Amino acid sequence: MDGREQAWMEPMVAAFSRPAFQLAAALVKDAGIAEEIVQEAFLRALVSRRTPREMPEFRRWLYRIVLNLAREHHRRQTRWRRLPFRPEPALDPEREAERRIGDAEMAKALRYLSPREREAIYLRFFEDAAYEEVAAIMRIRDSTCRVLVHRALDKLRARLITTEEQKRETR
Amino acid sequence: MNANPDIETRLRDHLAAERETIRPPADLEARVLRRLQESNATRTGTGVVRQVLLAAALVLFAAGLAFGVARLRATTPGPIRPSPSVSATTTPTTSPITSSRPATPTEYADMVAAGKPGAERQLGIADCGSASPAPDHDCFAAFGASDAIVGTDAGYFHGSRFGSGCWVYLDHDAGGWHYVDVRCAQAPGLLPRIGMDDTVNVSGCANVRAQPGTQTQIVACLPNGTSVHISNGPVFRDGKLWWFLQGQGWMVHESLVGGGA
Repeated sequence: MDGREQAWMEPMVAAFSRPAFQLAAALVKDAGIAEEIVQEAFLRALVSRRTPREMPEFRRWLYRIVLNLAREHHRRQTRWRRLPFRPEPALDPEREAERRIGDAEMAKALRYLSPREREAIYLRFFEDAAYEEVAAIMRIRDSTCRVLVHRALDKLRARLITTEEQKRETR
Repeated sequence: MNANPDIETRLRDHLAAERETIRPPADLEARVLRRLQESNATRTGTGVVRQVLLAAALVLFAAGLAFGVARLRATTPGPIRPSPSVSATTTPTTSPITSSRPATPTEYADMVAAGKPGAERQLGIADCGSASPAPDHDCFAAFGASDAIVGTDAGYFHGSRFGSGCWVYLDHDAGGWHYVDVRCAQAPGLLPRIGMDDTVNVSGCANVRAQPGTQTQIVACLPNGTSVHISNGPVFRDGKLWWFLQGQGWMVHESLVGGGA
């Protein structure tokens, strides 16, 4: 980083590294990987000539990179899971997160969403971003974003009802 | 309008609880900045051709500059060459002007203790304490000792508020450090500090002086908007902070930062 880059990037790091970390950690359920994603996202933002210099646009750009890196991570994990004879990891971070968080059914239901639905849900309700902002970050239409979120909410409700019914049956 | 109010409330509660469990490392910003700094070597290392061309251009530029200066010396009797050294116009009681240097940990701690309350008062925000600046909690935090600089009877350190980086400027005397000014910005341009480009920000033109001080010789007057490069300072003289503009002379702090914080 030269002096100019540093003067531009430092306030961005101060403002967005922590929220970006929380979003990344929520998506990948691993603090170490989340930090790696945040560092890589800032690095990509720094080297790209297309990175916006203003704050709101920079945030969108950064979050877009974070989502892409989280997706890459999930893809790598999926490929790894498909390999035969893979020994089970000692601790599944997602299951560990479910165990720690109060609403275990909701945590479990969230795992049944598609990656895109999960991203939309986390941006809308974890980041508290407006639909327009979610759409801009995900580079989709506003209407598509609303459909995506509502479909995800319907899926969550259906999943939670099923879980409740199964519980009642086993009592 | 909302077809899923119950599920939304439950989801929000769940995600708020999840957010509570996610605690970023305390030094996350420093780690990210370190990674960006380290990447610089890799990035520049890959562009070998670019580096060679740049070096060649620099050599040509230096040769041209040396030639120009030699000719100027030959034709102009006694040109004014501002230099960051003590002159006859400075009083014997003032400290000799030295090159700026990084603050020691003790100096940094004293600077923060003296500068933070003044900065928070001027910005109208509170101290962040153990929290970080956030959209719903704007506050002021000192950024780290690595960027704190000590000049001559003056210095500055780095801070931040939500959405901006800030620089806190101080003067120093036998009584210790004293707050002078704070400036925050989202982008470079109005934050004078060593090694940075800046812009003259006045109505009309701003005096450039051979030495820091309000009674020293004026050598030029730079119009508003002139780009300058700060190569030494800050120096505290005659109740004001001064910056040395490379190849020009000394300019008062206010002429580089404009009116408001």
